Amino acid sequence: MKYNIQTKVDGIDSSMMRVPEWSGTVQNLMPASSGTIPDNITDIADDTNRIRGISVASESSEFNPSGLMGSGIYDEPLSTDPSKLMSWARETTPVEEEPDVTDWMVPAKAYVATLKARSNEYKRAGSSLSVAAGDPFTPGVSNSQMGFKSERGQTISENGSGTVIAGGNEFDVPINGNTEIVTPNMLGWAAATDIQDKQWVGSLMSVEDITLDPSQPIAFPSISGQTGPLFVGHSQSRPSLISRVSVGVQSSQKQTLQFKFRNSSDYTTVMNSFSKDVPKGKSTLSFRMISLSLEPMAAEIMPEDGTQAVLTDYSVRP
Amino acid sequence: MVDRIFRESIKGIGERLFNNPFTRTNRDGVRYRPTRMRLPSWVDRDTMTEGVDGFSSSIDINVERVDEARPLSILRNSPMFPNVSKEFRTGNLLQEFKDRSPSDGVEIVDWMHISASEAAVMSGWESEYNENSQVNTTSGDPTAPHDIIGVSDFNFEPTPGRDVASSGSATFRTPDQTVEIANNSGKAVYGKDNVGWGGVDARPGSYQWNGKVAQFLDLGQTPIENPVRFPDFGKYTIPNIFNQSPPSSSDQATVSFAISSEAGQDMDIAFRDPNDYTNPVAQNTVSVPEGTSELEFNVTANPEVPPLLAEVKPTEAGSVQSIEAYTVESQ
Repeated sequence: MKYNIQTKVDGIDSSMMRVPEWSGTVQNLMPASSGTIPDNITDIADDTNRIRGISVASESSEFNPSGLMGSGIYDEPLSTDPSKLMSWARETTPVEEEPDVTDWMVPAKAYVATLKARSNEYKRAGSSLSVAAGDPFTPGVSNSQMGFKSERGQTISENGSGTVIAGGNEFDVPINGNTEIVTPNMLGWAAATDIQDKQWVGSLMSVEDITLDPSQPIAFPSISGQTGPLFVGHSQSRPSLISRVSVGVQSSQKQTLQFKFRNSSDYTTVMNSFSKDVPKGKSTLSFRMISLSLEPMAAEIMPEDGTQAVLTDYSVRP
Repeated sequence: MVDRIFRESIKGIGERLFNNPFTRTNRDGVRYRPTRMRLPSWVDRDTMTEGVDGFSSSIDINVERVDEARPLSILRNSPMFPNVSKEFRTGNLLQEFKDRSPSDGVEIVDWMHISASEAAVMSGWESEYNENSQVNTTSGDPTAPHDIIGVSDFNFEPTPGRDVASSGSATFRTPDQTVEIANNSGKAVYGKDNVGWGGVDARPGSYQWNGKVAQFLDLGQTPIENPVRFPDFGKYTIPNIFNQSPPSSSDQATVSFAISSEAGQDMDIAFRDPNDYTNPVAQNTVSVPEGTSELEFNVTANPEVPPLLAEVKPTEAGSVQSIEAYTVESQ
């Protein structure tokens, strides 16, 4: 097994990515190994990466995703709809009856169920996604790779953002908003919602082991109007300057998906990006990538906030 | 005995040996992260099989008090609660959290202070342990909101606290088994390739309860130089679990570490098979006095001393603060 990066860099636990054995040694394997094909992605200028022929084929206008997983904690509805999950949490959380149950636990329970279900779907795809949700002030929220700084709801309202800490580094998360948390070795996402005077709900998601060639549904995390990205390994089975990519998506509405392709040696380096509209329902997005680097990348797919979407497959040929 | 040596390469760095892969699928098809030990480059199949079989099970431990107990200031702050006092006993932080955010019955209720105290101590422990390794912890209420999912592969059933208190235990789920953990206690749970820990505190009549979970992902590898606390929950503690790894091939090694304690205390020291953590290899109990003590003992094995999982645990809560300077020297 070969990985792109060490398990920990500068105190931050990595989002590991399995890479082909030829990764990093392509120069020796290519027929044209005359020194014209560099063997290290860092040798390549970012602008050598080209994306061509982006197209979308609609297969169905219905948004009725199947194959979703549950949290494994509760018998919550198998749905990507945040309002359904919130209704379920409200019905099953005894705020009125129990003196030690308070309001913030209702959205927190809904987000816990949602994020854990997404984690289970990501695990089903042969990989590992760490999630967490709860109140960051008291008692605190963290997952395996990062955590929220304990701050009052009133404080983050005044500041306009909460703070996520990963390995001693701090990242701002806008209130009633969300943001990617990307470091050279880690891929994550965080949201700050449901802000009260003291309590609020912080949600975290980060990749421990990035999925490759997922072929079963993974829903994009969607909570309280905040929709997060999915990170997928973009890796060829053999070295090739041209790769053909097929992405299956189900969307609750017509929307624009943003794609970013991140350097697997430094996730903060975006090699290429594009946006593309997809219709409501099920569709397949296809494109060609032409790249001299040949090295695997991490693809980030980001739906619009407030939408529901499901990634059904992501394949790279060869 | 079957050895398990996994060779991995890191792009641009080279090959590394581990006893388990980064992820694995259990019998239900669920992917999880095993507890990994990085193996030194000199180990081979014989080290991992005959070396473990031939490990000396009789350990004579020499204890010498060398200094006063270490001050709390040597501990690290919690990254989540950087302004909260450094502590290894959660009970000593409780009033600080009550003062910081008094219960109002609307947003803040009592169980949150307990969970926050536990989170502060455990996340501080994570910072100390995770220098070059990874343990992941969480604390919260397992019923609702079940805000303990920050640990991926070990978890509690969402049973109401009053039911846990009346039945006397909570159900703890691991990657390959479910176990009962008695109320007001903690338990380290060893699977063949995974190690976790759960702690349970439920009160009669309460819906909410305080659960805490730890998952050891990459065992801290010797030498461990900085102090690492023993998180202390009043009636029980979390053990420190390390990868006791000889630096070179030898049939004898000297192991030493320091324990800091505010009172005399017995410590359990146990070793487990890196090929199968359910298999205990050797164990002993030793008394340490008040203060900082150096513990030293020799271990032998044929053909050579293998890397082993080492668990160090106070037999009672309340006094043992930290372990540091855990080293292995091949003789």
